[in-house]
Amino acid sequence: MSDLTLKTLQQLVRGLESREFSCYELATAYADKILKTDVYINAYLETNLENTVKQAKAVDLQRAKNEHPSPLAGIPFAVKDNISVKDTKTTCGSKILENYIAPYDATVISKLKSQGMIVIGKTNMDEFGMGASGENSAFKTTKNPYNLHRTPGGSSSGSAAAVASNQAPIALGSDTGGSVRQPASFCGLVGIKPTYGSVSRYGLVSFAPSLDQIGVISKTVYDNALLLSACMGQDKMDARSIKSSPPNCTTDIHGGIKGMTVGLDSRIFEMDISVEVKTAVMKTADKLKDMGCKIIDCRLPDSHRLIACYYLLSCAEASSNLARYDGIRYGRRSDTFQGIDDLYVNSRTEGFGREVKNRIMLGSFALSAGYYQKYYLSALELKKIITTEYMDILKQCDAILTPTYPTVAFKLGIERTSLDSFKGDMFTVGANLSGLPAINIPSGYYSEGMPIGISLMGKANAEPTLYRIANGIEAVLTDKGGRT
Amino acid sequence: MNNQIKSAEHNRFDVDRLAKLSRFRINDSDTAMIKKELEILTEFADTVLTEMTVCAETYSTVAEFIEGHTAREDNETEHRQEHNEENLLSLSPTTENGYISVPKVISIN
Repeated sequence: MSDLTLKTLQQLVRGLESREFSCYELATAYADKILKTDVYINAYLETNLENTVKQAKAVDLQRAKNEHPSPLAGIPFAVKDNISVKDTKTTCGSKILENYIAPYDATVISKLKSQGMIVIGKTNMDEFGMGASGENSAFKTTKNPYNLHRTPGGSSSGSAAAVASNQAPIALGSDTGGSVRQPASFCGLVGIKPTYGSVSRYGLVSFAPSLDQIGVISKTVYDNALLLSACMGQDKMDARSIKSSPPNCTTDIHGGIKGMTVGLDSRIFEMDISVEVKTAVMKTADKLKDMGCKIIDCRLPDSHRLIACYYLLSCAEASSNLARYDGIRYGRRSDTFQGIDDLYVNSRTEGFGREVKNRIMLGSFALSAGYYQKYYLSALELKKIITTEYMDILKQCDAILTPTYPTVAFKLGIERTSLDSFKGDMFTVGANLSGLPAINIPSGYYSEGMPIGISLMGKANAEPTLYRIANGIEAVLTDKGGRT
Repeated sequence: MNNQIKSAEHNRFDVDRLAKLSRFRINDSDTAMIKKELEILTEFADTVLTEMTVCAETYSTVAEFIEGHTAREDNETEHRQEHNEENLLSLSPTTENGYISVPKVISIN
């Protein structure tokens, strides 16, 4: 039998349906791959391979009796370690939560479990989602499967690396400022941040709740649409959940893109981004035109505004959110303390890493007396302006085309200031600030064989359109697209 | 002159106070590093925010853009008839000699 781990989710679904292979064979194939590969990649923080194989056997029995109607039954998937899976460690890549075991499933996990899908493991991440390289994990550094000296991106580093190295057919990540799309771009994968509120955040450990969203990382656009459709839907446990029936994102995916309009800001080509990335965007625009798509010039919100607004709001929210990790309410408690204040301070000082401390302190500054109005309130106002600007552009087109990141995956171990790191997010944070959906699509391989990704941002709740355009691009830019 | 203004502005960072607010203990090298980071970041934010002169129609969430798609109604704080002051106060604990009277939960037989 060929290596099952090389197959796409769509191929696995078909193979299971046609009894070409069993769930047990699939689970053991992934377990073997993890045991052989992850020692080099460090994608997982924890796996439960024995249990995965046991659950797969149970699904095989159900399938034999036609008791499990879901086509996704028996498919294993990887989960970023900030999404709660019952009775499993959920560390958020932080020492402060190193022994925290989630007492409940996140809504998205319950939904996928109810379809018979199996959690194969929890993946590594930058601590609390703060970082773009995976190096901010308190436990280990995940490597890019294309080049072990380079970063897989972050903060959903492990989820992207696991899918790219065929250690999982698909994975869940979370995206606060590009944490699904940037690692997908660095690892040659498809990654979506759906519309804010379309996928429940219940059970996702929050970093900045007004920006956080669970997303999907996959090998192909179709796979991504398939899993996202299973994750979407209103949830009473998430107060910001959108009241609507979830769309089936795969129905019209092969509908073609002739007659659609895509916006492109020509000023991108004057920006300080890699020549190869610019080439990738131009190539994509040309291909879209060839396929009958109209390309119009648009004026995106200023990148400096996006970055300033994003880091002020995300740090302010993080400083407030992470106050709960004090060794009493949540989190690891320091062994040495004299009095309650000392306990708080020691627990937090020992438990959090450098980047998280920096951002919490910047957030405390932005929220402190004298600066609250100048920074936090101004950033909130700016957020509204940015959203309006995107909405105005999207009145004239179906999607906006940009790079996902200014460069290909950079080398591990390079010292970067927070501002450098934030500047890299200039093409991704807009979708989080506005709540709009955005997707990364691989657009080929450039420097030293590293993948490059391009991004499409769409209208609110228009994921099916976004997938349709992405599928068209995938068909012409990679060898995967249009696979049926 | 500009440099003088900038350096005066940068002295506003009382990193020790911020650390105290955030409940962290930081050493001297951390203090210097964080101060530098804050300087870079706030200088950047200052430049951007002072350029911000346009005011636009505002929307708070994407959900508000979509007709018929509103976020979940907050049923938890819905006013109910039985939640009048008298009823609520009747649920509060009684007091005895200025102390709150705690119901006995363990009985020794």
